[in-house]
Amino acid sequence: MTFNTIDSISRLGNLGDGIGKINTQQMEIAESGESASGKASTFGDLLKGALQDANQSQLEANNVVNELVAGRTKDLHGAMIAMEKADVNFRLLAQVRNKVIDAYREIMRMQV
Amino acid sequence: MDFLSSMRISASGLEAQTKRMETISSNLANAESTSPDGPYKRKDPVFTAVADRAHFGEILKNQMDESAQGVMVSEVAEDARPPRLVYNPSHPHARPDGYVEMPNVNSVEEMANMVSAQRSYEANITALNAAKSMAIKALDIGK
Amino acid sequence: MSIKVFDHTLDALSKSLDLRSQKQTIISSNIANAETPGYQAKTMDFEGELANALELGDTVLERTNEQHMNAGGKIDEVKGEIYNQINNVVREDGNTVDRDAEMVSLAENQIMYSAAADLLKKKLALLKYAISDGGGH
Repeated sequence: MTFNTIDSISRLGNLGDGIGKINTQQMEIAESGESASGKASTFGDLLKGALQDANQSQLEANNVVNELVAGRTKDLHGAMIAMEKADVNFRLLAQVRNKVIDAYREIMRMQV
Repeated sequence: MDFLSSMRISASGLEAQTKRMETISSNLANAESTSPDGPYKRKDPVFTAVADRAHFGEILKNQMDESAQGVMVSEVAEDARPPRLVYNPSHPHARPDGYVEMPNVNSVEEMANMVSAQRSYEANITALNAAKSMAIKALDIGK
Repeated sequence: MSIKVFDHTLDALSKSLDLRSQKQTIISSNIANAETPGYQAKTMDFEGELANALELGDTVLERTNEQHMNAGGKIDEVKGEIYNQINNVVREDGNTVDRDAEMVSLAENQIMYSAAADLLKKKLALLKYAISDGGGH
């Protein structure tokens, strides 16, 4: 699977619309398949963004938990929230990946 | 096994405080008891710290083992203070000089001790519950 | 093939559970012996050691001799230190237990233990989710 294939996929309006339901702070989905300049508009970018988010929030959660355990901070709810965020971001990443794979398979099934 | 050790220690505290309550009750009940051999003598439990061991005779292996200490009532000592003297020549146990030796039990002191024993008992209950809920929380990790 | 699945934070969390359960025993001892004549109240410290092991400080300390205190890098070896409390409680029978302080310590220890257990559970759940193919195909 290469991102070029996915690039062309995103120009098909249907699939782009379907995935348009995912709404995250950082990513905007192209409605009609036109790439917006500077914003994530391909599945590849979406995936990369989700990956970075998940990684970043996991590192942050680890940091906060380390500090809590070592007594450097008493911020209990901060640690809990950071952990939840990491959890949500990771699951989002997993779902984005699933959708991307779905889309790829769909395309590969097509008769050209 | 740390939680069992902690709970055993708290249990020893509960037992010691119960014994203390028993002596306090005994003192209060016998605040006026006299006999031909002399008055009732006030009793006091003596607490000692004992190392917590799962099996009697187990050797204490490290600093942690030595620091985990429960409590035990090693003896119930009699109060050595002299008895109260009350002038009452008509009392059956009166001394030749007309004074009766009454027990050296001070009700106010006993009540204060009782409150203290109750507080200690509750504190030990809280410690026991804390250990129990921590153990239950540990079991939840796998769920 | 050995995949490193568990990170330092997970180790630190599980170590802190160990240490806190030991601390619970120390606190119980203090509470049970709050009226024992001559009893010295004890306390247990491990957070500094854990911070070093997690390398949270500004400098990472080198250990030149195996006998030296744990100076960083080995979460597994954190043992905590048990010593007599230095407080202002002076009673005529020599007992140094401050009962109210012990109740506070008890509550705090329990809360931190619960927090560590919950966080550990969360991390493991996330790992299990990832391993089970992310809920996908």
